[in-house]
Amino acid sequence: MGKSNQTQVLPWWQEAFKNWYKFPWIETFITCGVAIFAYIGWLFISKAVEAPPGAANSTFYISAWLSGFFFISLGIGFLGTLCGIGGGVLWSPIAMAFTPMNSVIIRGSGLIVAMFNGLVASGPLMKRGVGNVRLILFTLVAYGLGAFSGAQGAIYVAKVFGAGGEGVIRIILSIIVCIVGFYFIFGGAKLEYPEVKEEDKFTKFFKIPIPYYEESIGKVLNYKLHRGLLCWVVIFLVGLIGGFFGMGGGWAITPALNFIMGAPLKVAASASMTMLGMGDCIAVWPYFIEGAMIPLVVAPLMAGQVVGGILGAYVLIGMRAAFIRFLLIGVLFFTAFGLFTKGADLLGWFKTPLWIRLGFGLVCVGIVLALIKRGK
Amino acid sequence: METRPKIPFENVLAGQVLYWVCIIGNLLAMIGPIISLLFPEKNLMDVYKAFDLVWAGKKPDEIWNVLLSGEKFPGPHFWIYHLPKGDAITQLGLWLGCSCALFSSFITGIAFLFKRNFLYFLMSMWVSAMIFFAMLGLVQMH
Repeated sequence: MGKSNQTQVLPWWQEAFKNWYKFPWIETFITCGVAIFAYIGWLFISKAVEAPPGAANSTFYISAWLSGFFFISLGIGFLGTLCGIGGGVLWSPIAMAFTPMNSVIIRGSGLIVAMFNGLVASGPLMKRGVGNVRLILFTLVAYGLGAFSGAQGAIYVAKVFGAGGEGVIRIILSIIVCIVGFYFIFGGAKLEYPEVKEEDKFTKFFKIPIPYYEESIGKVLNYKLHRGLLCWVVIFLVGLIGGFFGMGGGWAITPALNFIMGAPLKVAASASMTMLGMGDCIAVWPYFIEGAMIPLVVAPLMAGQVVGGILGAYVLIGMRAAFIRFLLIGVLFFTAFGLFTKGADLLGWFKTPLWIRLGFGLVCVGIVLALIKRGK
Repeated sequence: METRPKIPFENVLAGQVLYWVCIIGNLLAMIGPIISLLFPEKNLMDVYKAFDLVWAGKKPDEIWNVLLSGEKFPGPHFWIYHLPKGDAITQLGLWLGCSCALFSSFITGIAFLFKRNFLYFLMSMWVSAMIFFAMLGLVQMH
């Protein structure tokens, strides 16, 4: 990254090659190098490695699955880091729709896909102040309390509301997410760097803001936050609903921090993914204890997330905030559609065929591309 | 020319702990499966059957039952007793990755304590406690 206005500012990848032997580039190169060996090099070598007598499959067959899982996870991890969301929102529906895997294994692996991009990206982001540990802890306390209460009450709530109740809540959420999506379209640039005139007493008490140098505009951002209590309540509710239905809250945290507290979009996206990653460190253990994490199957998913998260973090630091907003709009509409169709299914209204879901995904990609083109 | 503001130590520390534990865990999780395939006899489970069982839609306990030739799943901390077997190395990588927030929040909490910032110290310790109890199977969030 650039050192000052007096020295020549190189793009991150050029600086990486120039300073490959220094931190943080050396571990980035080692991680990427091992990944290339393990998932590309090994795939070719494995053709020559014989499986033991009586083995169910060839070594190449197993290695091909490892590589396939890695590359799927890599793509999801990279995109998820740019949008400030966990990849679970993409992985779980795809795995549920396309694979015969058991739902417990999908949910467990979904958490792995949701958490590691955010966790590993926090290193470079927090070093530059884009990631804010105080904001992460502030949010995590509310989210953790909500998710924990939700999980404890899940059995009771399932008995009281049943599948119909879950369906209604999903449809209400889909409407809210859709409204937020439209607000992000029409709210424009003021959402990228919201202007907070005065902090309230509650928010001020936590002393959350950390000024940082915003690479994309070449300025120090000394931001203020407000409405912390309201944000806490909203994030608690997001956690509560997530805990009830095992949905995760990636779709809601970035908008809540940006929209309610007035955090710059990049700071909100960064805090959201790290907070969700840390929260998922709690959520993932029951799956571990149950044995839903088959090491050989889950390891390449983790590796893809870590490599995708590192690469995504460096792209995110120098990226225009408008681009993040456009990506988030696509994710919000895709999430709203997923929540609505699942809700409709639970209420027995209709089942949405896979091709429609995939088609809508493409429509969302089209919306993002159109917004990027217009934004330029 | 604007001077870059100094980022608080605990902010950098929290990120670096998360980052490095994830990187180390990830390297182990990438190397582990290769060791498993290179030395198939030195594994706790039959790695050649894992994907077939997962694709067959089997439940976790059924999968472990076949992978361990009739034995029960030994729990998530099984790597402690089986290093340096390939699958134990992979499991250690996953275990480290999934507990990185515990290390980060605990160490950051100590840094907050040194700075006499008791509010964030308590918040960090609360997060650490939640993860620790989840690792013991006492806390569930989903």
